[in-house]
Amino acid sequence: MNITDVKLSYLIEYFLDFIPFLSVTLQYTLLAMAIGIVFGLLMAKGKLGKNRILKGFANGYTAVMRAIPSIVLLFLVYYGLPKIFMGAFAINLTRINKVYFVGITLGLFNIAIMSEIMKSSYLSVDRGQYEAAVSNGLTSSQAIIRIVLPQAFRISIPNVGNAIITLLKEGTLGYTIGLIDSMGRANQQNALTFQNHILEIYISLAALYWILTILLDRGFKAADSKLSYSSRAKERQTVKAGEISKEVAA
Amino acid sequence: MTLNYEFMLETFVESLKGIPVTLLITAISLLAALPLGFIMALVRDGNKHKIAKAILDVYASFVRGVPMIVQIMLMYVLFPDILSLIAKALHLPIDIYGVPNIAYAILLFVLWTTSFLSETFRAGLHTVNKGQLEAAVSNGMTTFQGYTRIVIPQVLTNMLPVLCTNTNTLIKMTSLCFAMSVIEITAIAKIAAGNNLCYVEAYLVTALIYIIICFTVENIFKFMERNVSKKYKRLAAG
Amino acid sequence: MLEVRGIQKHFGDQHILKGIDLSIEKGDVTVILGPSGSGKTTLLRCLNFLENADCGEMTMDGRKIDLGRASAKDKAFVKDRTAFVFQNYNLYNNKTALENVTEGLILGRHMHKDEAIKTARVALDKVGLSDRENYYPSQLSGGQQQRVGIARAIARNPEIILFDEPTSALDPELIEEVLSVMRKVANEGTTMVVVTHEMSFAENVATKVVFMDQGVIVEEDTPQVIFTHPKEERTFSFLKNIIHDTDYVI
Repeated sequence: MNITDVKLSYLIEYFLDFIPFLSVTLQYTLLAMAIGIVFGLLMAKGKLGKNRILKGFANGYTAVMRAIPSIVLLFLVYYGLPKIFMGAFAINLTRINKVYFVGITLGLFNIAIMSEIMKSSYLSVDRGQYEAAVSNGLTSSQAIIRIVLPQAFRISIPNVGNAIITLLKEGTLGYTIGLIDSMGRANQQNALTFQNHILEIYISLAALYWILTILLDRGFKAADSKLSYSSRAKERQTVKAGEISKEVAA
Repeated sequence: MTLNYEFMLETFVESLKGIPVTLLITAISLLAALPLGFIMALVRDGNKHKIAKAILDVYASFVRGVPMIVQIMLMYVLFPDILSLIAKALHLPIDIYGVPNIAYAILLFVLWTTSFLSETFRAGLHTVNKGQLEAAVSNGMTTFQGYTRIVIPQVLTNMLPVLCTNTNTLIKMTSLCFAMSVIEITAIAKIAAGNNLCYVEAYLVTALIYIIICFTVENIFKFMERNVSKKYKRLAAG
Repeated sequence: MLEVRGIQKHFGDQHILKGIDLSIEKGDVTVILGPSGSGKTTLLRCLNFLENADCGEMTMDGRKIDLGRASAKDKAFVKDRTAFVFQNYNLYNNKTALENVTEGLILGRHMHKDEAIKTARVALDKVGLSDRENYYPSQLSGGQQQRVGIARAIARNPEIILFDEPTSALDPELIEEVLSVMRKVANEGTTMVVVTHEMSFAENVATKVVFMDQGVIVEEDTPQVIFTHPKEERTFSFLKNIIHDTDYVI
């Protein structure tokens, strides 16, 4: 087919057809985030700690994850994980939902990504914040939990947003192991229509992801500025002003 | 779990043949995208070319927003299409079926890397003080000279670590060229794995090769960083 | 009230403090002068255990502490009785001005929240910032931030407040508002140890001036003696340079 033959009606039809499959995207992204946050936290602790073995392991893991293409790790997980589970625990994984394989693959990358984000956010909080807290009568753990970590979390929001967008884009490779997310659905439709609508299908799919990432980007930017400490204060003041005007009215 | 080591060794040797293809796509993309990406960054950061800026902003947003595999699928259909339209319009005798797949892959990766690097350069331009260019221009250089002799060397120096990460990202991305039937490292492993039903072994070998390549790239960049900082120190001392 | 003997401190192979003896009586305003790198700040930080001295002895309220082997309890004992005002304020970025003050009262002093807020409001009023209690540090000027820093210190009603160059990060026009608050605090009889380059404060407010150079105390005396006829050549040349500089400023 030719680009001049692209029909708007088909574009809309396929676009709407793909939308429900975003629930699969959501599933593997959530799984990957959960894995990344839990194990990433442990890795970040290892990277920031004094134990040389843990530190070496965490840094080595991150370096390896940075070097392996997503598609290669996906195949390794998809073919390797059932073999390991069969050999070690005699558990048959071959029939579980493929979304888990994609989620775990992305999760393995995300551990490295999140640990780097957590480490750099933690380090970017000025040392003086901790010092002021302990000299002000807080214990070391109170200082970290109440003063340092909330600030580190705030700093990490844009990076976490980027990580989520990366994950949901990389997840499209799931089609190579037969996962039916919106990308898998696109290939299915392609086969059903004997490649006759191939342009419409991929344009719709591209549009879907494009819009999705733009919306997510906006969302994270809004969250970032909304959570900034100065804008929160403005809110407080307007609330206060509102209360006062209510009192005046009463 | 037992691994077929003989097969792994064979696949390793076989996969080495894919390295030149991977590196070729990477090298051409980088060489083209370094100047193009820089120009794109300048246009997007500037205020002079409003229309070009708007188009490039949309383009950058597309490249960032759409998964690479979807871009590949789309462009794999679109490129020959557009090429044939151009050929028809200009009455050029091009056999579009004769264009090798790797040419499309390279074209797509040049476009992708240009946009990708433009983001890096935009960040890099902010690390160099505006006064540097102003000083150069008021000191008798043309704007072009100011950029090539003063600003760009500083941007590149500041950007070396990020460029290293970007290069590795690019190398990993080329693994998706299998979708365009380009036979590079991953595609070779895929074929070998399917023929021998040794999937885990094949992809372990592939992973190892990528790790070796990426570590080599990192060391090359580290070497460059050391040389650059040495040069600055020498200049400062001299 | 507070007495230290023979404090030594190394950073790597640099010998920063070479045996410092200092005693502070109730109501003293002790100003520590000296060129940069003389160890003033390190000494102050050692008094609050922001740095751990290599060796030395501290006596506070009858409790004897071996600084080389201070226990967590020893440190808590001293921290509870001292407060620290930082050069770069170190207000908690994620807390409002009021919360900055209450945090240490609630967590460190286990004060009830309402009582802490009451105490904090009194402190903020004293530094003239009652109307800024809901502002986050990023919305306050440097001078205001440092005044909140002082409120945070006085609210805990410590026996000694340690000031580490409280005005040197400020723009010149903001210095006076902080100094006037410090004068007010001093006039209320608060015991203070102040590291500063503000000669007028040393001359007019201090009860004792300590001159430090290269990790030792060169001489200490009343400001009248130090500023008019110092005994040591090093003190004389330091003061000559400083006062010489100020002439140019004025």
